[in-house]
Amino acid sequence: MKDIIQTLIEINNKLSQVEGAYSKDEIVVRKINDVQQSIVLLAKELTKTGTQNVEELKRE
Amino acid sequence: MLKNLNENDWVAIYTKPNLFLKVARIDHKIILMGDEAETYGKSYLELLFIRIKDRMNKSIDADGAVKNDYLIIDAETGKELEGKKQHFLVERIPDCKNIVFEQTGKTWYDEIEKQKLIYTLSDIEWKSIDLKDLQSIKKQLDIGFFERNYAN
Repeated sequence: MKDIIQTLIEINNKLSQVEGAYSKDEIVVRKINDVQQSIVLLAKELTKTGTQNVEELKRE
Repeated sequence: MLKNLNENDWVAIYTKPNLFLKVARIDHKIILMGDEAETYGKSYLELLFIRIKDRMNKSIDADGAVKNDYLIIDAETGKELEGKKQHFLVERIPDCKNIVFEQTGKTWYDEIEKQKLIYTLSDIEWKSIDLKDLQSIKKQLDIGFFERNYAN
């Protein structure tokens, strides 16, 4: 889980760099923003699931 | 024309000769021989399955099944498999990096690299992704075709 979150953060940072290089291209910027939004949602979902799993383990 | 290309190789799609549409990746490659190839009047046939819509745009049938919209290309001719109305022509990615692409005013290289970026980003299924896939994406961002753009 930690590795996945870390990799998502690294991808997100790389995409910000790419976005800077294509800052004048609306299509690329929009696509990168969409992907970054998906990354954030995935990270949130994974974190939530991870937290739930921890809670379930505690209960057990 | 497209022989020796394999799954994951990039190709250029044209709507007419010399009218470039976009780049795409080969999803599957199958080889037909014997009776199967003879159906199409050949003894040997290499077929390339190319998705003309990215994963985010894939259509869903009425029964809920996800449907990939494949372009099925005869690798020998670059044309759609016989029997269908011809809409597209597929060729190798042009090797003319410094030539200006008239449709946008950029160089071919810049246009194609941009399209590869958009295609790659559209081709990720974020909901079902695992660590191996993520590392592959990160690798592409680290050493792939995006690197040149950082330098500009």
